[in-house]
Amino acid sequence: MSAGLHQASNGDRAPARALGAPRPWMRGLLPLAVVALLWELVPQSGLVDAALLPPLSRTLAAGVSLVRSGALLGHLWASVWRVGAGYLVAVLVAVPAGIGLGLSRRLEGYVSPVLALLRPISPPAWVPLAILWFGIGDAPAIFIVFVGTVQAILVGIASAARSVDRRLVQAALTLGASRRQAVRLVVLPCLGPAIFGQLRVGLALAWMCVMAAEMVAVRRGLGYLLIEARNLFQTERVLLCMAIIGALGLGLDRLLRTLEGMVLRWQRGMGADELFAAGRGEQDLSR
Amino acid sequence: MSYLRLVEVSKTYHADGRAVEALAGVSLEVRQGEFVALVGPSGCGKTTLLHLVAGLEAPSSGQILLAGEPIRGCGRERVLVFQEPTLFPWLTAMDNVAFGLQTAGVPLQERRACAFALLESLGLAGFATSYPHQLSGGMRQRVAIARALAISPQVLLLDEPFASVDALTREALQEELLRLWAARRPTILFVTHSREEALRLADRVIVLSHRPGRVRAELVLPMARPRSAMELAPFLERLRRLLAQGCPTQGRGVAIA
Repeated sequence: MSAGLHQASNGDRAPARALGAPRPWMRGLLPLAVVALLWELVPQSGLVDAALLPPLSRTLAAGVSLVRSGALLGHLWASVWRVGAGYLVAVLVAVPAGIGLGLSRRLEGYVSPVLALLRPISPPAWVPLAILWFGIGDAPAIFIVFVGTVQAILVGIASAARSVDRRLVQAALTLGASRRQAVRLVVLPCLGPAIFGQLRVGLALAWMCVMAAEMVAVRRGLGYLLIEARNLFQTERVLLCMAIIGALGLGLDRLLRTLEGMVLRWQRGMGADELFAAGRGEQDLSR
Repeated sequence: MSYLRLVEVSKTYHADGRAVEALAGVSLEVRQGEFVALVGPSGCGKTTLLHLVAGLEAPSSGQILLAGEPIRGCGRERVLVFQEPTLFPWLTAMDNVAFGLQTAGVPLQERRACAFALLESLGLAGFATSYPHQLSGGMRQRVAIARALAISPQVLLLDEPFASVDALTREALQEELLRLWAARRPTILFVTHSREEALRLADRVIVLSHRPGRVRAELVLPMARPRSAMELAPFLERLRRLLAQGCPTQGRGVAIA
């Protein structure tokens, strides 16, 4: 009986999807729409004081006026530039250093105590020193972003490099690869997934760091806008800044994932998630 | 005259403060173009021997000479094929085969043409652009062998290359290996667990003793290939007895298929 059901619904699959089931790219929109709706309705209904949680419409209106005045873009650009610069330098340092650290026990022996010593010092704890060193402006913020992300990326890549399948490296060596070729042609591609994972973690961290820096060390940027809005009790602007930071992070993460999908095309059809997706497909059929 | 010479080669591993002797004074002479099979109980150091000849590890004592010269590290004239295919999962079958040419600096188009020709000769032309995870176990091992042959090695080291495929595929792969060997005549050291496989393929079968590995005996097989089961029967019996003696702890039920 169940086989018959399967058969029948199998043919119905495409139309059923067109009618009801969400397409993959729509899945992420639904919860966002729910959040937006609650954000609008809960303060409107008076359940929460609108001064503490302004509805979405008022927050957006604040955004529109900020854009019109030309201020928002300047702040936004300042933050993006600091994140971009600090993050880029961190990536350029951390990826090769992480690979070196993961592959060389000697290097790791020298460096790991220093890393362990620096690790508990959180990015905001670097802010006073950064101001003393670089004064007020872009430089301390970029420094904080660098310091806050470089370590995380480095440690993640080093541990991934340590667990690269040694037999693949042996295979390369026996096929005539030099040690450098083995690193470039085998270790690096092996690390592809780990590198992208670390890049995404690092990017999120970079945004956290730039906020910490901008709340004290500068007169421009989203973090500065946020603190200023709080001082003036402009809750709309506070929420607006937070929403922008979130949206930017989401967009950049998507960008990295798209890039990952392009670079790591060979992984298609290998992941465990595909197995579970196949399992879900079965359920869809019987629906 | 011998081409590949092992002179009193020993290898001792140190792990957790204990010394494990894998090979103890192995001496071996192999002629150029000869097909030599190595058999012996599990853990007799067969794989270690291949790693030493490949140059992935250095012997603790003794010498390995190739054409009179001591080997130093890995070299393009010696290639090892592992028990598992160990293909690079991010490369297509064709680019896997072309890998050794890439490390030699052969231009892309040229090395791909060469790799494709090799795949074609192994009946894998239709899978040149497939990734390893899209291939069956037997196909993967074919690709791994093609990858080793692509750089035209003088010495081909095979570490139980057919251990993980089914019996039918195994026979097909054995035939293909013999065909390739006849055409290109590399010197082959072939490690196997299977007595039948060793006898069917090799010019000479070297029997290693239980750990630490020593050369215990050798069988010379002068017959032409393909060899019939009847021809091989007396050799099989001798080999079975040799292996049974070689394993003191397990007696007759040696860990040999």
